[in-house]
Amino acid sequence: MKILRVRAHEFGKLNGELDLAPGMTVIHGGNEAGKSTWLQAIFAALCGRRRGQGSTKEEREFKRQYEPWNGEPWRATVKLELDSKRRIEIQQRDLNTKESVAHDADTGRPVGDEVIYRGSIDGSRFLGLNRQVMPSTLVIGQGDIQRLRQTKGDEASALKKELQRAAASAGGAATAVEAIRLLKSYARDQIGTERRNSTKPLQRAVERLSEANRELDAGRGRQLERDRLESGLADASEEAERAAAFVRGCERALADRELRRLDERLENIEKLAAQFPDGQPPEARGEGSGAAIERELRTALLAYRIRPDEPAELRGPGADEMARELSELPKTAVGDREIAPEVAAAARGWREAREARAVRERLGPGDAPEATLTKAAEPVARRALTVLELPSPASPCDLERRIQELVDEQKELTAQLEANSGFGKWPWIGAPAGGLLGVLGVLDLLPRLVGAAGWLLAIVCFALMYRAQRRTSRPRPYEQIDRGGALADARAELRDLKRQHAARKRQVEAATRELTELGIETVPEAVRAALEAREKRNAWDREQATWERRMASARMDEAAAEEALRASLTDRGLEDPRAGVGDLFHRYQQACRRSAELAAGTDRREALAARLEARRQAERSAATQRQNREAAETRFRTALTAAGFAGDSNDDPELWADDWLADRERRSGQRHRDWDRLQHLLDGRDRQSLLDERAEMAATLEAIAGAESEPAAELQRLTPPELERKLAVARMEADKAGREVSRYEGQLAADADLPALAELEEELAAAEHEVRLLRRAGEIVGTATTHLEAAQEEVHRMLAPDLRKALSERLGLVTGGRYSAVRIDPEEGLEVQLEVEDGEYRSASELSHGTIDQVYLLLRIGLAEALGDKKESAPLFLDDATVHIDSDRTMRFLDLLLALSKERQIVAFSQEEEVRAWAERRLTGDARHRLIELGPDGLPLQAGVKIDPAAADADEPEPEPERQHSLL
Amino acid sequence: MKLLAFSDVHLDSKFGWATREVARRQRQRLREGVTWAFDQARQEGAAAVLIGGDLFEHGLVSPDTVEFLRRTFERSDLQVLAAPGNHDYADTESPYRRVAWPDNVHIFGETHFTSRVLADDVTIWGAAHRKPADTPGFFDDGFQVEGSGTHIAVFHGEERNAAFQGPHRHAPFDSDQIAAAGFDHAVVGHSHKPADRPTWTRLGSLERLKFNEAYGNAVVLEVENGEVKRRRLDPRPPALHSLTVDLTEAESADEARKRIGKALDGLAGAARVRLIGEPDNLHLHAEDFDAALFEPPESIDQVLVDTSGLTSPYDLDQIEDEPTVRGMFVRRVRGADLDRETERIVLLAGLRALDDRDIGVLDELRMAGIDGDFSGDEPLDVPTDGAAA
Repeated sequence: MKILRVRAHEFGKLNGELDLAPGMTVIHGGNEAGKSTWLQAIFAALCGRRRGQGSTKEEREFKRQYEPWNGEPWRATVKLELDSKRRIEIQQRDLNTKESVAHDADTGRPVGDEVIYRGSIDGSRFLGLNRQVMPSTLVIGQGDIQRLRQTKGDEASALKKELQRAAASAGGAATAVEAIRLLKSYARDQIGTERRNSTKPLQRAVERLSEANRELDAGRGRQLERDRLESGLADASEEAERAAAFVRGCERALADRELRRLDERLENIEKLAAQFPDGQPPEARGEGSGAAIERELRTALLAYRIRPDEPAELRGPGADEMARELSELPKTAVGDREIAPEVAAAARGWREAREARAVRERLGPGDAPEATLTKAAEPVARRALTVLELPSPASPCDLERRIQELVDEQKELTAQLEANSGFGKWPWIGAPAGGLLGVLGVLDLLPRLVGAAGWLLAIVCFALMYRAQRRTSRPRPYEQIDRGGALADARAELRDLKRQHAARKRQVEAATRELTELGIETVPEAVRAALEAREKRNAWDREQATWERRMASARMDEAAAEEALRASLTDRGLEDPRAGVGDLFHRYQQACRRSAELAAGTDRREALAARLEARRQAERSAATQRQNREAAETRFRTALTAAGFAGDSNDDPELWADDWLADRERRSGQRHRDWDRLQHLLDGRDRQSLLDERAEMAATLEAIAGAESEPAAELQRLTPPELERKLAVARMEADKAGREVSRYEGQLAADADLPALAELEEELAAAEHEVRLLRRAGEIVGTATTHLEAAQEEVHRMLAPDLRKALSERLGLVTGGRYSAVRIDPEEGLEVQLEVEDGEYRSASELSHGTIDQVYLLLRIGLAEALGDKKESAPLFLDDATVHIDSDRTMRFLDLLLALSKERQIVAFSQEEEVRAWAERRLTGDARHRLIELGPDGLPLQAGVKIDPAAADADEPEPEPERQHSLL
Repeated sequence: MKLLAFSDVHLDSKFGWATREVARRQRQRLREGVTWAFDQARQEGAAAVLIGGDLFEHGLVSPDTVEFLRRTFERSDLQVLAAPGNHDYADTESPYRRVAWPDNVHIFGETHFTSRVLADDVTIWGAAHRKPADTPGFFDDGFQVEGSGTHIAVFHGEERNAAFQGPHRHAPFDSDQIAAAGFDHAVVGHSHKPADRPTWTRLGSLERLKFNEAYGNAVVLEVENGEVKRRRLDPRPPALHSLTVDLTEAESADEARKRIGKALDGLAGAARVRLIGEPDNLHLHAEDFDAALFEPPESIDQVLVDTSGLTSPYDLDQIEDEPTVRGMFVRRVRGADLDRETERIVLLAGLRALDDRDIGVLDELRMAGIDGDFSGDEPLDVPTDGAAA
């Protein structure tokens, strides 16, 4: 099959045609030039789109990318030529509605029925392929060649893998081997096996199931135990009920007795209540009729018995006489009789302060000593004294003499030096003279001989001078240097000494002037005496200042003490600001002495007053005693009369009164006891409530007796102690039964967290479900693996001969005859082996990288033939297949493609410049091949025809049922 | 006189599909149904409550539940007459016979009809199952009511000739046996789907016990002048829901969750969601619906997702035509003798492996409803649609 022309109508950015060469067509264009769109348009035009419900993601993506969004029809048409030279045109009239037609381009007869697939025309059916398989089978993309190189050094393995991938799913993601590995890995990791040491899900689920079974068994066991406890509780409750019934019988018997006691109690109450018809308690003692008489008699009797005796008569002066004597005594003294302590302390303080001040006054520093120097002149005098006492500098005479000696030694050494240097000053004279003679000789003023002699003399003198000069310019001897240094030192020392003498003289003159101004002789002794006098005066000044401070303090203390004394005297009432404090204190002392004398005279007055008061008290007491005695007798007589004592009776009144009172008390006590008994019987209640209680008790007893008459009757025969004992035993048994009930209840309460069996069953069911699910998953994965392995083996066996044949036929194109045969092993996953000269087969790994690329290309062609029906030569499309390989390999690859283009159509899309250059070089000029350069609009620059969609639509003939018209 | 009847509460049932918390909530809801029924009885002024069996699960009932029933019966102050069914059969271990029920409760403990006379000359007849299966029909011995007045039967049994014929006999009866025995009416438990027949009432379950199952409600019988009038109370809102969500063109699990969440809006309880449609090459995992990723409406306790209804992302017919390993694999699997669901998952596993994608077999099994028994279709061996065709 060869695709002759493709026409895209509003297909992505494309609106135009593309003519493909029958041999090899290289379509070159940059990125976004429309190469991929043309490739998609070719397949869309050739294969159409799938009919059917829904759409896959890929289909929706295809539609999104290439469908016109302006509402224009979305079409693609392809004209192709089959190997039989039959030309077919397929029109995808609406890629949206999937309306398509196919007809013979020469006869116009429809041929759609030949290539209908899944409801729409699919031109790939001419190749024995379909629209799903064809793109992945016939297109070699960018990644295909690149993947061969990803496993560096193992291209043969990669070749096998790529072959497997293509064989597995015609361009799927994984090879069958990888898919099988994936399934096994899933089975191993996600499911696992049922081995005890396995940590995979299936074994964990099995363990969970075992645990759930154990839990359920335990839960059921606890449930049975709970049932047992509940049964025990029921039995214990029944026993407790029986015991309680017996207790109730005993209690009823006792209640019967209680009823009888209640009857007796009511009878006694009736009797006692008759004594108190008004229901009021008896009068308390001392109340009621006759109570006042009784009380008065009792009191009067007691008062009579304890009445006072007749008072004794008083002796001595009477109260009046003593009062008169008292009035004649002097009055009481006023004021302090002795010096108050605080005044005495203040006076003592004042006196001490005054004495301290006087002592301090006497201890002053005395008269001030005389001093010639003032305090300000003291530093001047001290400085002048220092100057006067400084030692005089040494005399300069010795130093001057030493200098002179050194000068002489210097001169002597210089003379010796000059003597050693030549002829003294004669050369200095001879040289100018000789020169003069010479000049005069030159001027002919002298004979030339003289002149010559003069020149000679001058030269000799100069020579001597030069010699002397050389000698004097040598370093001087050590002695001369030493003398020079000592001379310089001595002279410097002399200068310093003279400066010291001058400075000393100025200081002495200044000191003399200052001492004269102070009036002190300029001798050190006088100055020293003046300074000593000054120091004594300074010491006196310091002592005087200290004394004055202490005096001021003593005066302040004295003033404070005086003030304190004055204040204390003022407190004692003695105040006179004009008087001195000494006088005031003296007046106070006088007043104290006077008061003391007055007090001594009034002591007798107080004693007399006390006796007077005692006399008056004794007289009042005697009068009161007499009155009380008479009152007691009168009251007793009155009380006896009121109690009924006859006035003419001979009975002793006191005995009569005692008898009367005892009788009355006895009768009152009996009445109170009856009342208390009545209250005890009533016990805070009234008679009616007791009657009601009795009626209720009787009714209850009657009811109980009706229900359990026999036990009650039996118990009634027991004596009260026996009944009490019986009741105690019954209660113990009832308690025991109650405890048994409590014990069961406690056990049941402790078992309250009984796990819900439903939850345990649910957990078991969940665990069983998980095990079942995992086992089932294992079976499913195993089934899938088995079928996939079988499918792989079957397909590989089917493909291997075709691939071997395809590769063998074309092997000469790529190996130059080095390999004579090919072997492809389906057992080894389609491994490719080549036969070398000695008949030995070697792996494809020994081929070069470029050759492997070419072998892969041949294998893909073989695969396309094997997957197809082999009747048609399938075109091969390359979509930037060489973009990732180097130039050398690209050239070899293209050369192979060119060679292959003799047997099938090759369409190579490329963006590479070197591919374009190769095509220009190798394809131009050959009508079987073509280089197409795409423009920015995606259309061919040389031959592309930009179509007008509207015009195309207008030109498009109406489809006829039997005959179709070509659009191309 | 009014009587209120209900049956098939199945207290303490297990809910294998549910998480522990949700299962507890479901069980609590069953209790609430009982409480609600007694409230209704009081509001209606009923003299007695008739319970047509399967009140609880015999082997699973907890002491707490028994105490709940005892307390509820006692506090109701109504006559309670219960006929044990095949799930709460009255053997010697049954709470019916072990527990001291209050005086107002009467358990029909015999395997033949016995009676209890109520006021107004109304007699209630009942019989009990004493084993979980093979209980003979209560009418098969030619039973006839005795005495005058109105005779009403309450029992647990399956109607013969019904669409469902279980493997065990559960007191089967013929519809005409009820009138023939002299009953004026009968209230019958067992089938969860309610039905109102002229002479008898199939009560149905008080609550929905399984997803996508019909359920009934309490029935009020009014006996007046020897005539029995029947009135069915409105059913309570279900706590189990079964719904379908279309995931066509859904591109992500998030989109799937949004659609499911929208469908669940306004519902309360647990839901089983069957997903249908053609999602966009979407591979859903069980984890996609875990609590960490999926937040259904607050009133929804749990969501079970069933992906078996989703259209396969692979065009198997087309792949089958491929001359590749993939095509061969599909041909082989389709040609193998596998059940439909197994074949679907085997194909998915192999094709995903060839696409180098996650195999996801466990996800498919967990979400595909392949283990239908576990996903809520079977806690009970009772017909859900036992009505005659």
